[in-house]
Amino acid sequence: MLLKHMNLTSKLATAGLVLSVAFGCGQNQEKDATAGDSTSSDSSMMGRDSLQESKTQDFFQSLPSPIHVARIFQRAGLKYISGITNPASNASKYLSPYSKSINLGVYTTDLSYCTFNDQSQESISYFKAVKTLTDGLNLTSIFESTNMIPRFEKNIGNRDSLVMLMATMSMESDILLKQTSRLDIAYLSFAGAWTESAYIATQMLKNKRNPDILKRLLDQNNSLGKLINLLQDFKSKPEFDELITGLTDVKASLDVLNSENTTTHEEEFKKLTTKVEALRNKITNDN
Amino acid sequence: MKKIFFILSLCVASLANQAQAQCSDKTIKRLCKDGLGTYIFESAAFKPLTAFGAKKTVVEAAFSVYSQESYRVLNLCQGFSDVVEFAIYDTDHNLLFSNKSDKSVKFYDFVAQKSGDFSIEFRIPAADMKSTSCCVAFAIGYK
Repeated sequence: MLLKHMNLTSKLATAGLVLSVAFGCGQNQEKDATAGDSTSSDSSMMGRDSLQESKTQDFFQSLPSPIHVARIFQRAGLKYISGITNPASNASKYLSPYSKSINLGVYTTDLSYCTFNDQSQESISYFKAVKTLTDGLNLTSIFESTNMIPRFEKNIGNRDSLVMLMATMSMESDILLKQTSRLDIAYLSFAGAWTESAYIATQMLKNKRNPDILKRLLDQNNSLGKLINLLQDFKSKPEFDELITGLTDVKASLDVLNSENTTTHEEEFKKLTTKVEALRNKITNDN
Repeated sequence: MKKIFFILSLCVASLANQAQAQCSDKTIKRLCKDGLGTYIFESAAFKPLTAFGAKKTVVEAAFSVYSQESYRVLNLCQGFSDVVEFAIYDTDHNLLFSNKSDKSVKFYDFVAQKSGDFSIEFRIPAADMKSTSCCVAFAIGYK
């Protein structure tokens, strides 16, 4: 009787294992918004000790594409300033998953900025820098599946085609990171992209005021707020905590600049520029 | 007994795979390419219906927009018995669009008047509430 019972238990356990594997795969798409458990296996290099989506809605928050943000700035009149971007040659210096992820975003913005300003050779360099970092983060399929680099080189000089290729890269990356729940990389990359675009915009505004660019810069406050919220899930890691502090400080200035009180704007803009510059330099200099 | 467990396990695995296939990266990418047309991919979100729990009748999501930018919101829900009803609300939660009167419409194009967060709601058909093969998904494109 006991033997029979044990046999049944073992069969149930086997069936349970199959079920958990089957459903476990399905749930790997994205985590259940309502689920409270954080015990799923961790495929991310940085680890995820808490990925509950408690503060978002039923889906993970949809953040804007850095390529679109670069396009919006370009339409507002953001011109190319030579030497302002993070040199593509730095890509190989980023060794930790954190610095690779965050500088992936920096380079995505730099790539978009150069492409929208018809800087062909620079664009190729940044495209390769993005590839170096995605390879380093085991996101090789983003480039492999679409033979992206040769296609990019072939289309140099044709901005529309390059934009479509960048959009394809963005889609491959967005869907892959969500499919595999590697949200730490997604959020860090967005943080890097956000900071780089704010850096380029503030550097230009520092020398020449353009109300359209300023408006678009202030518009970024919404996505920054979302980002800071999303990063809270990783706050226990020191580098994330430091990043959240830096971004929150930047947001405080954007809040003032977005407020009705215009008397302190000039002074606050200077503060914002300094804060963004410090944060961006920290991101690009850490490895 | 062994056979029963094996068959049972296979059935469940197959059902789970069905949901996974509907929500797979390949399916979502293909649907984005087909549905966005001249719009450029901005972001996508996708989850099996089972991930929302059995009692979920409305699934919500938010997405960022910038003023004066042109967007397409694409309903990519898959595997349902009927086309899923979806509605889009602006930053002040005013209803901008619903496909209630013509469910065959699967996308909505608009120019945002204000920067901020828009939201999208999907109404899950009652017949599919317990289905394991449905995928709730959408994509955003811009011009």
